[in-house]
Amino acid sequence: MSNATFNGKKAYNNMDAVFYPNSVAIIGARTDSERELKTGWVGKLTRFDYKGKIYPINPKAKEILGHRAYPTIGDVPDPVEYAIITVNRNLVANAVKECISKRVKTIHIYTGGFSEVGTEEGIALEKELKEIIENCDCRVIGPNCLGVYSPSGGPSFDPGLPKEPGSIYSISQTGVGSRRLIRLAMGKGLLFKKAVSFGNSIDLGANDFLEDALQDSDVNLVFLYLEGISEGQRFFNILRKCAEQKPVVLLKAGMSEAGKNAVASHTASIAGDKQVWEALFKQTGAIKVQTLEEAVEQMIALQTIRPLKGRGVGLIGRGGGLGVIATDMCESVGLKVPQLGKKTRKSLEKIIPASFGSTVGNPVEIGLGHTGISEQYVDGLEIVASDPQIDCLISFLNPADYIHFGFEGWAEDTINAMKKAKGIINKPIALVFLPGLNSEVFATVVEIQRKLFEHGIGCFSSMDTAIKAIGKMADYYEIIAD
Amino acid sequence: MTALNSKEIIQKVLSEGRSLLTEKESKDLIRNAGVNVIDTRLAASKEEAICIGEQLGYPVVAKISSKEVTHKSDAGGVKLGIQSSEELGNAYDEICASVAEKIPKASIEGVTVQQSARPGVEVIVGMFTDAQFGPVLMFGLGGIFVEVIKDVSFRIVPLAQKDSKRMIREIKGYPLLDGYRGQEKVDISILESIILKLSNFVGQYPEIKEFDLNPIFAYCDDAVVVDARVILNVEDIS
Repeated sequence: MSNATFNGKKAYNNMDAVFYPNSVAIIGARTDSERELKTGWVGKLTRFDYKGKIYPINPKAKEILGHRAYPTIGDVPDPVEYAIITVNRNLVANAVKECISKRVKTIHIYTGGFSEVGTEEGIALEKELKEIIENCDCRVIGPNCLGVYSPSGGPSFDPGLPKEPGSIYSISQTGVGSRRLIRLAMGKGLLFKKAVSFGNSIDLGANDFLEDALQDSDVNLVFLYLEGISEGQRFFNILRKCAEQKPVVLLKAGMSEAGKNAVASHTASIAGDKQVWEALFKQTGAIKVQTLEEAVEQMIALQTIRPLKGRGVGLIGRGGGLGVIATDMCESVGLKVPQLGKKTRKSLEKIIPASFGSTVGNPVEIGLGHTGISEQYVDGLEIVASDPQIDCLISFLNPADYIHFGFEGWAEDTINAMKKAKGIINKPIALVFLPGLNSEVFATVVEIQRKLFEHGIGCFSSMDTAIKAIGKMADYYEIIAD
Repeated sequence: MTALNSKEIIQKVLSEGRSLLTEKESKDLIRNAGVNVIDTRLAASKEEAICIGEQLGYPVVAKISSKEVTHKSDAGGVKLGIQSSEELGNAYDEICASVAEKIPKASIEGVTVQQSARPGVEVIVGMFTDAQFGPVLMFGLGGIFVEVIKDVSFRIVPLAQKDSKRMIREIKGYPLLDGYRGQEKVDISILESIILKLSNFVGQYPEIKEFDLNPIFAYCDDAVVVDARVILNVEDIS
């Protein structure tokens, strides 16, 4: 007997049946092919090119979207690893029982209308489900959730998501924190190994998936969206362990007002949910973000920028004013913009002609005319990076100027320059590639940003997002190095 | 009389149906956690008080000991800076009379007599139980800093060593501990060790629901708990 149990079950240290099932039954597949194809699970799996077997379950159908249908899951002749329950909430309990009899390994209850609606009936139905699954061997995701996106051979809650797996693991209580996040992230080129939206979590919850993320050696970054947490101590311990090994970006939404009544000590009267979550961030090193957009920028930084060893930033770019703004922003997030050493300034003077608009202080304005990118640009980055006071480079370029002045080949020049810089400089580098507000420029710049990301170059649309993300990285590496 | 161990103190309080420990019980419990607490003894009579006063050496502080009195000063139950046996005898009578008058239903166990601590930088270490995460520790500067400015930091139990280091340095008033303008520099490592001992202690005793160690006097070579208030979780009686 294993002593590590949860809900009376063996600790879940193998999520294979959750993320890589070889067969999926959809209980409640629709007979209306067009609707099923567009919004049903048979449609989602087919359009996602799910390679395993698909068994639609519907007593009124013989075949749905080319797959033979069965009246009940018990009628399927072969074993079924994974079942998705999409029927009306009053029929869910019975469907779960049938799955248990069929020895399904993972049950995903897609249907909502349980404790989350707050009605007596919803709460009672959920309680019934908990009782039904109490002593079974299967594991349950949900109810009231999107379930799983697993591009390396599993199902997907959205057929339009990339089929190519990456190295991010997204764990989310709600659909917004998973589907919308992945949609935003894919636009920037970020790819996921696994994603799950676990809803009311009558069985598997954030802690189980976080443990899986810790153990999965393909995963190097975790995103977590939470509104509340059960088993707080277990969560605290796993999170601390996980963040030590791979960064965890945590979006905690909503604050609890519970536990504020009947306090007898001064300490308890001062303390609140907010302070405790703040403490959790400081102790575990989990990186705090407040919006999905911020989460995406933070993940871009973590996937492309080397770990920071200190807080000294070298700012290099065009536009003296932008440099001053960036300096203030750096200071406000705890980064430093130190004065460059004598040796560094001397070397910079050699490559930067003392002409209009060039300075060799920090921020460094490399006077390269309006083209912005040239051989000297990379040399300049290298010289600044060699200064012992500098731990990280942030360069800012304004491609709207290149387009405005009608330069050719600047996009390739930028990509090549950054690739070269990344190859020869072993300190963290980020590029702020300002998209401007003109729609034509915007589209071009976003496309180049994506290409830069594909080459492993951290590229951001604003000074603000870049500096915030890098500031938080500095905090993170400081906490885990301590 | 031998001192009770932590388990015995907790059981005694719970068996009497109480959640709030007396000052003496609170201090005995915290001392058992390995933390330096000011010597505080209970006198059941005036004579006993004078005897304790002579043993501890003057000046001393006298406070009412009653399970029904939660705000001792308001009830006239505290006398500071007592310099002699004569003063201590008078203080004993005055305290008992004042409490009897202001809170007639209070049963008076006697008066606690404790050493006057030499002045130091006042800090607070507190603990409460969060509904989601369990025990959480708080650190801050004592006195008005905690009451008015709420210059405090929190950490979830169990704390790692770096957590105790960081939570002390995180408060805005940290320079006051670090020898601001030629003042005595507090030994921070002693405060860190107190915090870690308490983290370990509350981890062992889930019956403890909240406490305030306020103030703790911090010095360049020592730190001592001067007042303590511990509250148990009554629902957890099993």
